[in-house]
Amino acid sequence: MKPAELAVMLILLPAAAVLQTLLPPLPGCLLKPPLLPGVAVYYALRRPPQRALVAALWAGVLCDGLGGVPAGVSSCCLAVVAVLLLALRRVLAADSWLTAALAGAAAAPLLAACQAAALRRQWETAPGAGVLLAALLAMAAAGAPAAVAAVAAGQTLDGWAGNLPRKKEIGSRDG
Amino acid sequence: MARWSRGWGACLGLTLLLLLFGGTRAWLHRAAREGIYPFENGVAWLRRHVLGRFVRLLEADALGARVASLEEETARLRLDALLMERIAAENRELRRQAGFGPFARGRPEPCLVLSRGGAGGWWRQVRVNKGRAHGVAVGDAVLAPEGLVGRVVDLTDNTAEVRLITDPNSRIACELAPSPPGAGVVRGILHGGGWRVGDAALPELLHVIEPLRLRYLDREAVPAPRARVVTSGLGGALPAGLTVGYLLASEVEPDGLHRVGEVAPAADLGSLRLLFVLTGAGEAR
Repeated sequence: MKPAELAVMLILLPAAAVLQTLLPPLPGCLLKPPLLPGVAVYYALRRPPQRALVAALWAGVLCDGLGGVPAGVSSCCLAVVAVLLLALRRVLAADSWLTAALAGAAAAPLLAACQAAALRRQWETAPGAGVLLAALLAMAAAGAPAAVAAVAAGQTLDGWAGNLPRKKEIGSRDG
Repeated sequence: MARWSRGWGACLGLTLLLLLFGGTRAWLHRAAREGIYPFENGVAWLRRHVLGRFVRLLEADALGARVASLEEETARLRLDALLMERIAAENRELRRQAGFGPFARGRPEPCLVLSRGGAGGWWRQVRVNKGRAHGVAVGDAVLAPEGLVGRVVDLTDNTAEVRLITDPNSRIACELAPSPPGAGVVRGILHGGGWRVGDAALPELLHVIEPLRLRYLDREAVPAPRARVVTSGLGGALPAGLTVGYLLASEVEPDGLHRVGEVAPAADLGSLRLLFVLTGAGEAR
């Protein structure tokens, strides 16, 4: 395990957790900006598989622990998202910002839906279908920029730490 | 590369193992809250000591008048406290003669609000910077100077999650004080606000102030306007007599069995900064 890789993960995840906790809810929605799912998307699209799974599980731990969601729900959901993205990396343009945005737009509402399903048992007064739908749509809209921001931050930190492989230089035709 | 993968593989295996068992899962989640606490505390410190000083500099002109007003209020409260001591002693003696138990209200522990809504936003709650290490327990009442704001629902050593009375799943046994004439004690259950987003949506939508609903009131008892709603103490969950809010209006429910009232919270839940946890009140319940 490269210490620099672990250090970047230990910076990204808590930073995303603190920001997500301190930021106000999304306009028109009761939920917070999905920065932790964005970090999971970054690792799933741009980093090796084991790191992606570890990041997904720990992002889930932070989501559940800081959000009052039953333990393990977000970890399972984000791990499934990470596995799907890892499997689709062969066919997706994993380096593309559009791919990151779309992945974030899909992961955030999926996570919110899983959390709502898990919380139904605890709620005496559950939100109506309209409120839930509005929340999922807001999460989809916010998931895209959150994932792009997380990817940008992750790429920057990993680049500074020397964790990213150097791109092969194109050799001169003249030799 | 194989050596590095072994390290990450071990990390993955350990994480999966910790998530497998309920006890370690719960420990992980408490550890997550404790881990984030220093950062939240740092931001709260910056907000109070840096941003607060900057704001006070801008409001320097009004500061003198505010200090004088606060000094006057403090002096008046000290005098009230002196007068209350005699009344409290009389109350204790009367309770002893009547055979009632001691009237223990707990010790107010001041705490700062670190964050609102957590990382999810599903619950209308705030996190405060006092926890198990400061004598806070699950179920303790949390108050602002104006009245009750919620109850402690979860704890770590240094933080506590406070579920607000505006949370749709909040239920508090309340009564009217004073009761309408000729009605006896009028009690009901205060339900938290609904899930809808308010019309004048501000970024802090967590605290949309919509009326709470005091249900199962006596149908025949017509409360006076702005009647004070206090905790009834029934069930032992909360001490009796804590101000919760004020009754705005009431009507008979469609089924005709009970009366329901709209209650405005006494505390301004949109600008919570300094709260007080009533620790030790549970020992006398």
